[in-house]
Amino acid sequence: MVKIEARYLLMFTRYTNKMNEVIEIKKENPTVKDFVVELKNRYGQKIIDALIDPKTDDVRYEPDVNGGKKAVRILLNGNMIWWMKGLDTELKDGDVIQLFG
Amino acid sequence: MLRVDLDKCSGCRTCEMACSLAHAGEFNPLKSRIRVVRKKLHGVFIPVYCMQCTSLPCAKACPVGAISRDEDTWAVLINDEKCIRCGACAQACPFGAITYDPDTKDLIKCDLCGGDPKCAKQCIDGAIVLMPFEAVGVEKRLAHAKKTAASYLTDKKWVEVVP
Amino acid sequence: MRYAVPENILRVDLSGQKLLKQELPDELARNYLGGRGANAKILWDELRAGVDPLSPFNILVFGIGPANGTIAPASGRYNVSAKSPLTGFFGDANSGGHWAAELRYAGYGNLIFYGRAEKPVYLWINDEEIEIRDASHLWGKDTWETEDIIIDELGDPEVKVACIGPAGENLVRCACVINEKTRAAGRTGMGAVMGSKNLKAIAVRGTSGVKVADPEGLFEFRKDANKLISTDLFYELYSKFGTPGLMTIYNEFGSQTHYNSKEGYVKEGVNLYGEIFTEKCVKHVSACFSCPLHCSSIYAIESGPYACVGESCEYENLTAYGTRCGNYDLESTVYASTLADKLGLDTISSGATIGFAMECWERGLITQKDTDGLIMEWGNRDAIIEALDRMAHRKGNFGNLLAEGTKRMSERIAGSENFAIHIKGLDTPAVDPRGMMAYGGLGYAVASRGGDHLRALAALGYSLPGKAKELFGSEEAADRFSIKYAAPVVKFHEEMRAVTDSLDICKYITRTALLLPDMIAKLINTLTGWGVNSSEVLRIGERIVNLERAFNLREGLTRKDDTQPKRMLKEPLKTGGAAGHVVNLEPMLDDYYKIRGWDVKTGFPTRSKLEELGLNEVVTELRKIGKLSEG
Repeated sequence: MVKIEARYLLMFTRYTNKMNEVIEIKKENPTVKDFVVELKNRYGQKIIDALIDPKTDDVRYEPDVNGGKKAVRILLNGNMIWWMKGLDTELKDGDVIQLFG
Repeated sequence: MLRVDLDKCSGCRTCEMACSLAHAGEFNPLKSRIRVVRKKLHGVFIPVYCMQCTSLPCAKACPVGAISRDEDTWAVLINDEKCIRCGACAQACPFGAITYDPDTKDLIKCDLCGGDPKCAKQCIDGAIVLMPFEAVGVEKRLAHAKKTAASYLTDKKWVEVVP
Repeated sequence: MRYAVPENILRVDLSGQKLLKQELPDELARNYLGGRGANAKILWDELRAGVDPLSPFNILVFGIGPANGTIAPASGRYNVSAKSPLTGFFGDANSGGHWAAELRYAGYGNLIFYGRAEKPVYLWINDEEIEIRDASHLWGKDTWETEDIIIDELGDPEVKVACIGPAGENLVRCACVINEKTRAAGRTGMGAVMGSKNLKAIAVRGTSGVKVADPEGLFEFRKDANKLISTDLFYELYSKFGTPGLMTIYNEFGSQTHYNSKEGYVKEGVNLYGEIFTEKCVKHVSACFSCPLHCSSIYAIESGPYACVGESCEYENLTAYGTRCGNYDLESTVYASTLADKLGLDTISSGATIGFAMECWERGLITQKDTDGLIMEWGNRDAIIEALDRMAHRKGNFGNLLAEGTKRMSERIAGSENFAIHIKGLDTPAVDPRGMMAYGGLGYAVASRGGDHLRALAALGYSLPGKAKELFGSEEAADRFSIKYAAPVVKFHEEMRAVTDSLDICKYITRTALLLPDMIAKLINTLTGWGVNSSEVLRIGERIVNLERAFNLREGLTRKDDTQPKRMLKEPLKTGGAAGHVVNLEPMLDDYYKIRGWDVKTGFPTRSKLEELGLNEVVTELRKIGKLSEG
């Protein structure tokens, strides 16, 4: 089991109505993808629609202007997961994930 | 007619730019038919423009009958050829929405741009919009009802089974 | 028929109380656009090297450009420039609001002030009628009282006022110019230069209009710009939270300035986040002239010891009196920010100097004896507020010392130079360069006005790697820790910023495609009809950067001045997303000089580069003083 501190920055609170919380992932060696699944369990499909671009199956880095979807960023301990292994980046106990967008 | 959302108006005066350009071919707030009064530190910005009043106080004041309504756009228009530039309309307007063009000395007022207002086109957040009569107040009415309903229904749990 | 470019230049001899109105020359507009570029050209041509910036021999220039007063997006900006009393180099500050539009409607592109008035005066520009009026009844008043009295006196609520407060009057080295009470031309001490000339204020009212070459084209450009802006991630951030939204971003990235740059991330920083500021203090949205971003807001603290009302409380305000000083109390920070507007103090420099004093205190280098009784402990909010007041009034030995600025203060406090965080004497902004190599590491080091983020604002580091690849050929250019692409990233941004500062539109709307040269070329062409292309746009920016460089070389700049504080080069941050990094400046600097066409060893521009930019007189002068690279 891995405890992650989730921080919902600025506009992102529109999906969660709170600024932060602790999320437990009941898996050994979870990845950011597992964290995103946890978010879906709590906040439903709407948070997946916001975070994931179905065209790339990756984080929605570019806005979908016609679909009215904003761009988002996912950070792990203060750095964009883009620079790591993206959604496959491994998480350890006590990590902080910051969601923005 | 034009309607403004005072929560959204940031006092940027882009509307003045759009209007003066469209009507006078230059950027000059004094040639704009919409003028924003900025009470900055009070946190309120008030665009002032012709309300296209049904009772036509400006037309009634005009000694030569130069003011009338365009039935298609509902805009109240000044006929430049008949106008003698006496300014009686400007005095009669309760909003101060009729002014003098500083160069030509014409009396100028909002004419809704023939039905496609340029100010509304450029206002990024839609603080100013063209609104038909029937729509006036609808948004506010619905928002108020929603709020009232929410507090009224807080102890009526049966509502949760409404499909 | 000349379109968009302001008609006239006004020269004001304050010593002789004489005014001269002249037509603004075509070449000035064509080669430098206006605003900052025109100011730089005027100062290069007319200011003698080596003058004391607070003497009557300094020249103070206000400038606007062809975009001001039109529907060009965010066209409410002006620049004010002179030799800086804080750095001794090119001093230049940029401010928003609506003053610039009013000056445009009065028909002036540049106001140039020479000499020193015998007694305090203010300039009243009422279209063609210009008057130098007595300001002795205004001397000593803060910027809010000054504006209220002037507007009342002149009898027209549409008059726009730019003025100095007690800080400028007392020649505080970081004193700024404040327009419309809350907008600041903050950096490099332009307020002190104004004060040294006994010039209290400039009041403007203009009633003419501006004609542009392609009105429909400009109208469409603005509509397209609105669309581009409104779909950008940062549009949402700025339009909903303003720059206080960056309080959240930079702390979470671990690149915020806490405790005089000792830390990059502090947990209590959350008290100052954009969400908190917006929820607790913001009352209504506010905007500068013709701006679709409306990043500003009216704020209020309704009761308590820090009750206040104001506008434009920015990231650099909340960090200046908050994070820099270890103060995580929102209300006192906002109060101090409002006070700085009234006193006319640059928020970055005044906050940084106070934070520096606090580190001196922590290390025992100054005691209550030195601080005239002030307890300069981290987080002591009332000491911060009192220190601001004493700084603005040069009250007591300590107030006087603070008024001299961080650099001079550190020269008088043995052992403090190692943590005096400034470059060329200008305090660096509250974004730690150890977490942003291009933006801060290189950007601050080479900025012409000293330790500054706005000369470049190379904000790709939290932006899209995709865009970075488009512009610079590799996604690595968006990696905030990468030094490989720092030079081309900074060069490109510096040139685009110089152009926007000269049109005089706001940098914040030049995100997304608006940052690209062909968008700006389109804007310039709809305004003026000149038919420039994107490479000409970059060339104008490059010309301005090189001219400012030449100005600085003439005032004694060397490669040694393009540096970083020791802390940034040697001490890695310990916590947060940027932990473990230092700025590796030398390779970035070498690259930067190389692509700029400057000699790598000395940083002198080469003859060929200057000639390419049409700066032949600069070649002659730099050669004379031995600061030209004959290449």
